[in-house]
Amino acid sequence: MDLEKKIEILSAGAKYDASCSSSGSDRAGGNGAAHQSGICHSWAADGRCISLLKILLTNNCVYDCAYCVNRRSNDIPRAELTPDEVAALTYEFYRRNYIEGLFLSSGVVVSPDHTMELMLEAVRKLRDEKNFTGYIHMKVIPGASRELIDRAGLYADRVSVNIELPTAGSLALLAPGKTKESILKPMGRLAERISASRDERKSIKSAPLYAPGGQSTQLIVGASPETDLQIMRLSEALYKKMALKRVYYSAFVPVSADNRLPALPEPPLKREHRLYQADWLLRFYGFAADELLNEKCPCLDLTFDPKTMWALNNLDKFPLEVNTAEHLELLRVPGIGTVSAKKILQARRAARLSLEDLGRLGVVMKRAVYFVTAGGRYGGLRKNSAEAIRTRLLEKKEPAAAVQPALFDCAARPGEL
Amino acid sequence: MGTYVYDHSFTGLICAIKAACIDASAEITLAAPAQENLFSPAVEIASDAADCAEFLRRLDAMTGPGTAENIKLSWLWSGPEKEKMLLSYARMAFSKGKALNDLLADPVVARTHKAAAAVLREAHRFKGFLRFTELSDRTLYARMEPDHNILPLVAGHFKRRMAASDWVIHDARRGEAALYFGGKLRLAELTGEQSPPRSETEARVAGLWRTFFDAVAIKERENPRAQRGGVPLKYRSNMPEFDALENLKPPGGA
Repeated sequence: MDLEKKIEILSAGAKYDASCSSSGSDRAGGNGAAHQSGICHSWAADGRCISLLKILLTNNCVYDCAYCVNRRSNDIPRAELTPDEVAALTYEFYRRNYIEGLFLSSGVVVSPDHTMELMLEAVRKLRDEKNFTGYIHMKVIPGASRELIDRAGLYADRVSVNIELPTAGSLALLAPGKTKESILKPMGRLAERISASRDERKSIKSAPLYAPGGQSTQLIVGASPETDLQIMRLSEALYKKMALKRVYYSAFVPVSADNRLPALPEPPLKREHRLYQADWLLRFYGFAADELLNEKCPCLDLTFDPKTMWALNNLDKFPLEVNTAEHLELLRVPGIGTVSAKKILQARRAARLSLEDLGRLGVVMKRAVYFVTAGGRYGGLRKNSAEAIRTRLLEKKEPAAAVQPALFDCAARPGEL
Repeated sequence: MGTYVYDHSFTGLICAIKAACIDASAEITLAAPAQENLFSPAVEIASDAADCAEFLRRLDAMTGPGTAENIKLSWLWSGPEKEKMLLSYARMAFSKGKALNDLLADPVVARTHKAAAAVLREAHRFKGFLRFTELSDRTLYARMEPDHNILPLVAGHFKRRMAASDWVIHDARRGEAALYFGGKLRLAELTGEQSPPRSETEARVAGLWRTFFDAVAIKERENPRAQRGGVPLKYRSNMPEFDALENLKPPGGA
């Protein structure tokens, strides 16, 4: 099979992995260098950034996970790349500045260990033979031995084990080859090694890098009945306990007519978007999952973003005076982001801020206006109620397409199935 | 009182700003003023590197770090009335001192910061969007037409990551290029359209890239609007993954 055909098959097989980030590392010194903030090189037709050559070593797989396009029982063309081909292709693409580096994943051939060995050989060739010091993101195969897992972080800037589904029950149903333990074990081991290496490098500068860009994971949204509350609690635990850099959410794209799966009219993209927003609130805005959602209301609103929803439910905390509010309070105002919050703190050291100034600092006033005062002045509604603000915010929104609830949308709770 | 004329170099501009900071009524224009202004005679300012460096140090000493950097970055910006903006900004350094760069809501400070940010943003974009073509002698050649004069910033970035190759980055819009041969980087004029012969493997590698680019998109999630947000159409003409047809302007367009 020629190389072009292989790329076509193996990148199509890798495309459902959402991660394409190239951040968190500043490796340099050989051919190529990583860039701390990451760099997007292009955007694909689906509007997702392309930063890395995202490809599978092979799409052959011994597993039969219902949600996966590469599952054993799926009748699709199969291909595999040699480690030399992966190294050469990455290198040639990198020289032309098409990419920041390599994202290498794989179907499981023969065994997890056998697969990991092939993948390690590909990244070893790239690092040692091509002297490549650009970015590498490497998938770690659940079930691989500890020795092989340990080696992955020596070559890769970022490592990841996909958690796939939010609960052990869904895993048992849809991914019978994988268990919660087989996923959490390598994740825990990687977390240990990453943190140990970081400590070591603080005192010994020459100590080897171990996945300097940290660890991420991904789970599929909408293929199983978990609520957003369950998902956000899981993410929160992963950030706290495993020190993950990112949790990615991938709206389920139906890739088979398996009767264990819901028949979705289209991928739940809006829900995925809201999960990412809520995830941001956990990582950068000081929110806890239980502040955004609760047992009575376990689903993220599809009309309003999670921060606006939180503010509408907590109107007693507003309006906030921007000249005196704490940093963490400012971050909770709809329309104020991490950058504009910092700018407010900086600018108010030099001069008292007026409502007019806020726009120049990057605050989105059409949202923030209901929740702030500046020098005691308020520009929102005279009679403030959540309902009134909601109506006004809706007027200024583009008319959104009606959202059709579908099976396994968060709105359909397990009890109602 | 007067109009200070400088030689269109960064050093010249800083020397003119320095002179104009002492003379509160002065303006700065480019070299060779179109016509003499009877009431505001032109004064030509000599470029002096030591003078320029000294003045920038003095600004930072007055305001705290960042002011000189903002001026250097804004110099690369290609918006209107750049000289006037930088003069107002420098003058404010004298009156506001340490508070200068905290005055984020002040129109002059905000405009200067915005200009510097726009330059950095475009430089960051081109760190991703620049595409090298391998020539028959293995030299890598990249062509770009950026809005701002980001060549110095982009060249430094590629020097760090492609130290072992020889390469050329051509700003076709300004007729300038960064030339990196044998580990030495220099900026030079490079005018006219360049179409040197490509290496034998070049077409094949670019073809493999296009194959990857098409295969990695999820059909069910097609989103041209988000794609345009990521790579605006104006950047696509030098990127092999976007084919020529797609870049054609709609009928009736200029």
